[in-house]
Amino acid sequence: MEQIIEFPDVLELVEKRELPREIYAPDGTLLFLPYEPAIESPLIANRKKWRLFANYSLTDDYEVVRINTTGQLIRIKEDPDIDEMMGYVRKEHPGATVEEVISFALESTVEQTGEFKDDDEFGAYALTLYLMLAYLIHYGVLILVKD
Amino acid sequence: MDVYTIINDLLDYAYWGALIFSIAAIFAGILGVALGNQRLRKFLISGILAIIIWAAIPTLASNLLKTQAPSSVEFFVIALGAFAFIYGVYNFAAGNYSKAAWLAVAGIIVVGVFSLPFFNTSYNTSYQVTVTASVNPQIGFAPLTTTLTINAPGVNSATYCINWGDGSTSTISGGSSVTVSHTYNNAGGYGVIITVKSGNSTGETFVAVNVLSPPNIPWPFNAIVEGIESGLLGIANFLNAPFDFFWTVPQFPTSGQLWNLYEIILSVSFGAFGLFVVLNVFSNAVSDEDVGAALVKGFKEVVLVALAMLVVPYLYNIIASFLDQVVDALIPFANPGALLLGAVTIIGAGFGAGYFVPELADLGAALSIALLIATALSIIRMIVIYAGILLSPVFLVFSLFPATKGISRVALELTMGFILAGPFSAAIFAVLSIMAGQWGLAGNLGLEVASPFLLQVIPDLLGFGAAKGLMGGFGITAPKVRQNSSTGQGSSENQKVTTVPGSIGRTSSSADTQQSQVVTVPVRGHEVKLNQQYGPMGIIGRVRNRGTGTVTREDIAGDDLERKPYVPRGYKITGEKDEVAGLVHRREWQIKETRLHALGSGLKENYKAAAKELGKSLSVRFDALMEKYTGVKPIEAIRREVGDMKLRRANKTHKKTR
Repeated sequence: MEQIIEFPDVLELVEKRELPREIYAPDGTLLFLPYEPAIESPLIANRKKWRLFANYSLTDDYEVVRINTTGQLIRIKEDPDIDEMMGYVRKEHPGATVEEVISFALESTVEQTGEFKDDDEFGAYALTLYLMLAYLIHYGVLILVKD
Repeated sequence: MDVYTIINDLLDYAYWGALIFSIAAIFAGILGVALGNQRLRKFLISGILAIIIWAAIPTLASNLLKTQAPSSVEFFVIALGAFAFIYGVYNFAAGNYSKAAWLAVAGIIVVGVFSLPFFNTSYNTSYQVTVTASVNPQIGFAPLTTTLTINAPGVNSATYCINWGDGSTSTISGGSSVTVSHTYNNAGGYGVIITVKSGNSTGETFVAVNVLSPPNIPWPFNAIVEGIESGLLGIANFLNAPFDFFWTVPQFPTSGQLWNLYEIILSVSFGAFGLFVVLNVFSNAVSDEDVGAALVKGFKEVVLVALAMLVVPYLYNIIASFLDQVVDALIPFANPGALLLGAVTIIGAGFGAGYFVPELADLGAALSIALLIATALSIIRMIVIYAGILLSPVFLVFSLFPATKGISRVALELTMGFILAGPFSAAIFAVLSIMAGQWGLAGNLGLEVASPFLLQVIPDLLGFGAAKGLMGGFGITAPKVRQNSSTGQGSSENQKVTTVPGSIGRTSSSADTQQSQVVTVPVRGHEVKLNQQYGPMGIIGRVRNRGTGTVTREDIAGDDLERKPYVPRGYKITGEKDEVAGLVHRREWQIKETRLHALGSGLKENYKAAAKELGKSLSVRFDALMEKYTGVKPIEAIRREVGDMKLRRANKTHKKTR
């Protein structure tokens, strides 16, 4: 039986204070620095330039996806935001910029749950999405292409 | 010109200036609603709230000036002012000048303005007289003779000047209580202004009298009708009292069974609170975060919650008495009994004559339901307010835990909303009564049926809006993202974010512009060409310019051409044309998009464009945020909002979209 890697629940990591200090892409590119000012995270700083492509295939189990390049299985629990971002890159717009992917997830959130109450909530939500995206790249689900 | 005159003049200017600003805020709010401008829209509630407070200022000021506060209130005011001052100094030292300035102003207002009347006892005895007045009956048919009773406790001899509101005035002398009668000959609403002078002290109060037009009924029926009328008017006066539930902000008792229950809840909550403190200290000690910073942060929350747990009922009672002053200032304009009388009459008539006049029964039933809903809502309001204060220690402890923070916020919003609904209800009722008086029976009926919404639902909603706004304003629901002081307020603050509805149904320059696309669809044996418009555009234009196309089929013998051709979904055949070239028979069908399909497709395109616009606007907002809050760290920002985010994510519909 193939080993399945568990994709983490990002908010749980935040709450349990288990978030690492740095998140890297499989090729060693630094993506995210949770404990530093947001703008210092390369994924945020290059949000308008870096593009994303899907690197996964669906399996019979909806929660388990196979990484195309390595064949590794990853269990990603159903999550509206993660699913939307993955689906957007795979089906709607392969090669979308990081910003487009985040905007798509934010737009869907606003559409379904109403306006954010203030900038703080909006900022926190957007940063959570960036964090999720960093993890998706880190686990190889999405491939980052730097222009 | 002495200093008091200058201060009085300045206060007068400020008073009228405040009215102008409040009206301007309301207009700006209305403009915001019309234009869909989020920022301007917020002014509406602020404006309405400001107007209510403005209207209540004279009564409030006079009441404050003649009130000698209990020592606990004095202590509270001093403590609040001192806290504001110390916290202001701390912020000044920390380089947060804007916050320090606000706190300094708050401290000055609290100590300087609010405490002045409390401590200035000479002001009380020298210049102010407490006056109360009541009229009986308050409503009746013209000519109405009513008796006015004035009380001025603590006054030995005084001159009472009464302006009856109908052009006549009376001046009488008496002791601490006087009674005087007056007859109103014409129908209308009258405001009776009573001014009392005793030595160099003065006092003023106001009561309303509502005189109704007498029905023109011939003898001897008038006697019967008048008898019934007088009975009903008595009921109406009696029925004034229950309306208090709509707007009164009740005092929370500080003794008795309810208080005992509160003390039990408080002690249990303190137990949980203690547990939190111990766990928090322990958790901070073992966490990898900067221990010192974490302890200070935790300590701040703990101190605030502990303080709040101790003062909630007292603080609430102060707010309640303030809001009741506002209500008292507004209610003299209203005459609830008259309005309710109409309702009772119609309900009674519906029961009695409903069999013969079904419309009357319907109206009676509608009114019964309306009044029942209004009453039920007012009872719910009271229960929620009491429950909110009673359970406040529990909710405060809840606010310390991220998982239950949301519950605590909702409970606070709900309680505050219902508390603030009181003055809103009173204000609406004051306007409603004046309108009912002017519109006659039809106006009364309409207003009565709408009463649950006008007197409870709308005030409750306004209350919730105001509560949310106030909590946001005070930072209760909006923990501030730390701002890099070296950057200051960036210019991005004024950056305009495009709203979505603007793009719906219109051609948007930033969204994908409309385009006509020719699509060739390969279908076996057919050649289908479609010329359809894509992108956002006006729906009427889209339906007018429906897509067109052709379906072509060739056949050697021509027999196959009689078979029904393939027609794309949403299209219909509008004509056909045959061509024969040698042995090949060719038939071309003209097709046109159906109106329904064009409508659906247009809406879908516009929806897609609007979603794209929203996405773009959110990107702009994020850019602005990144410029403004350069110092914000993701971990801190997310941790602060984790409760709200979980709630929002739970509300998202999960579609399998991978």
